[in-house]
Amino acid sequence: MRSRSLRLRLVLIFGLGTLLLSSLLGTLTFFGVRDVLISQQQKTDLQQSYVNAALIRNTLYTAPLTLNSEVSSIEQSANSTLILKINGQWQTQSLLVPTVNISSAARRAVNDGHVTTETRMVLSDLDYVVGIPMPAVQVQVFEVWQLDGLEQNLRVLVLVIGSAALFTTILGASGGIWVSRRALRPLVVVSDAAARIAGGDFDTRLPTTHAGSEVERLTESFNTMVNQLVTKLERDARFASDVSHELRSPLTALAMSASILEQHREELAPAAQESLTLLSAEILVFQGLIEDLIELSRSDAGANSLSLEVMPIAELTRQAVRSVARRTGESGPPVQVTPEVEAARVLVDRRRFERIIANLLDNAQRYAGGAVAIRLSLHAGRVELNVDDAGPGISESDQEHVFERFFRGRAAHDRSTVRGTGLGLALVREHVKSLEGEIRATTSPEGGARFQIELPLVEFPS
Amino acid sequence: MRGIRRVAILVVSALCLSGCTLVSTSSSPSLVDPATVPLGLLGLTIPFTPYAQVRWVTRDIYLIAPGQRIVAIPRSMTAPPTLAAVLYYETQGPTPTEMAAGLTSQVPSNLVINQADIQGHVASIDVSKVFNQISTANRRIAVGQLVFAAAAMGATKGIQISVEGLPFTLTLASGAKVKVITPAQMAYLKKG
Repeated sequence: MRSRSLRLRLVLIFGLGTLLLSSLLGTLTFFGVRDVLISQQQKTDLQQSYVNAALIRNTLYTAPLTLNSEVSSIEQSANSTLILKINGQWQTQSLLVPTVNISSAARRAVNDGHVTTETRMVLSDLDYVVGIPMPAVQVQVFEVWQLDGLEQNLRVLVLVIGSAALFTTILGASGGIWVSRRALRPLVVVSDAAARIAGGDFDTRLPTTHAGSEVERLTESFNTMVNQLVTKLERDARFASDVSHELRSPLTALAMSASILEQHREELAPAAQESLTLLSAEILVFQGLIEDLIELSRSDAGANSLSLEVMPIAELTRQAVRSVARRTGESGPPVQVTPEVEAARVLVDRRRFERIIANLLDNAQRYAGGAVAIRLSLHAGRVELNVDDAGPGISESDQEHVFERFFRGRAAHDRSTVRGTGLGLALVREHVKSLEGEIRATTSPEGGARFQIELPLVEFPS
Repeated sequence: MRGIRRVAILVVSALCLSGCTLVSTSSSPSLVDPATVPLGLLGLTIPFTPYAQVRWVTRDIYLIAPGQRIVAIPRSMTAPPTLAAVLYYETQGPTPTEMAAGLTSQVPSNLVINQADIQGHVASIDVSKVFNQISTANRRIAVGQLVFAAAAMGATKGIQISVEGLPFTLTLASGAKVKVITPAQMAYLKKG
């Protein structure tokens, strides 16, 4: 599973954290307010029921025939419904059926002389029912108060608290975005710097900021690490360069001696001739290795000067192939060019470009019996140059590493192939990079290896 | 991931709950401490009196059932019951529940009983002028209601009606005019 980004995780933590907190606070607030509202409402209703019951009692004592009008008057002013049980008979001004509104338990309790209260849901109405027995007048008064208004208020409260929770959650998530941006900015800077260093820009350093002691320490450690890395790389490059230079003189002497011996080959015994052949071949490989090492060292040290000029890529490629063919004495591969490439021009160093082509053709010759074609085409403002062979190809796992120095891959186990220096493709990559191009290894249409170079165009064909 | 799912479930549950009743209902009624009940409501006598109480008795009033038949309906009234009280309940007519059951009355609710007493098993009843506004056919039924109500209180020999002091003469279905209307003359109304 793909790991979630740190920024997203921070935003989620902030958002969910505030949602959780606001929900918790909202829930506590709601239940607190609800309890207070219900308690106050019921307390008020109970007190009013006492007063109303006393009014009924006084009416029954002083003017019993006005009971109905008194009950109507109470119901209108109190906005409640009165149900009376007089002499065993239920009396009410409305069509309410007492058995529905008053539970049997409440009726029993009032019969036993207790004042009762209960909250009931009757026919989708929420009611608060107060039952009061009045032994002095032998009447039981049940007053039904509707709590729908309270229910409505509580629903509004839920809506307000929910909206507040939503608002604080959005606020929390926004805070998370802001904090993550601030907190992760140093990481982004470090990441970008590391990418630039990996791309070969060893002058990259992190700027010193006052964003906090942790960031300052990270900056300092990072810059120290890069300094040490650069120092080590320079030391290694210098060592390789020094060794190469130190070896070149005796190697030249050796090559000259071998050359002199070659001139007198006929005078040597057959066994000595065979040894001379081997010696000459090894000297050639060794010379190539030293030359490559020196060039790489220069490249690492940035000592290789570029001599850039704008040239037609098609013609330049043909010249490079002819040059290699002349040197090796073999016919070069065909250069296949799409019509629009003929006019395409690139900014190149001719020597380096020829070295690129030479090394790629040499590599194809060693491991695949030679290149089958060099194909050029244009893609999105860049020229694509493919050196294709029909050999065994490069496995996908090796395609990533084939440009590393001294990488041998499958050839290391194949004794039939001719030994190279192991630096040819590494040098090709360095040269391509110096021309602001890219190189990758893929599979050719013939099933062999394809080395694909992309170079930026400076002049678009009309 | 599991944490996010839990929070989502909580939020959805909260939203669902918000649609339900926010005030919890009682599983059983709560009893109020008698000591906290004010105004002497639980006292056995009327406050500030040593022994005063209100007691109840049941007496019948007469209403009209479907089919124009006069039927007896019990009413509770404070003791001792009086003819005036019974006639008052007669003017009050049926309760909403009784009306829903089809009971009616031809005695107007705004009819005022000015005076009512019984002498020699004959009741003398003085009523307001509203009585004259009742149509002849309905008036006969209204008188029947009053006759049966008074008879139940002891006026077994009939009633004499006066309207604001002026004697009222009832024309019976037979055409005879009478001043004292007896239960026997109105008995046909009980049969419908």
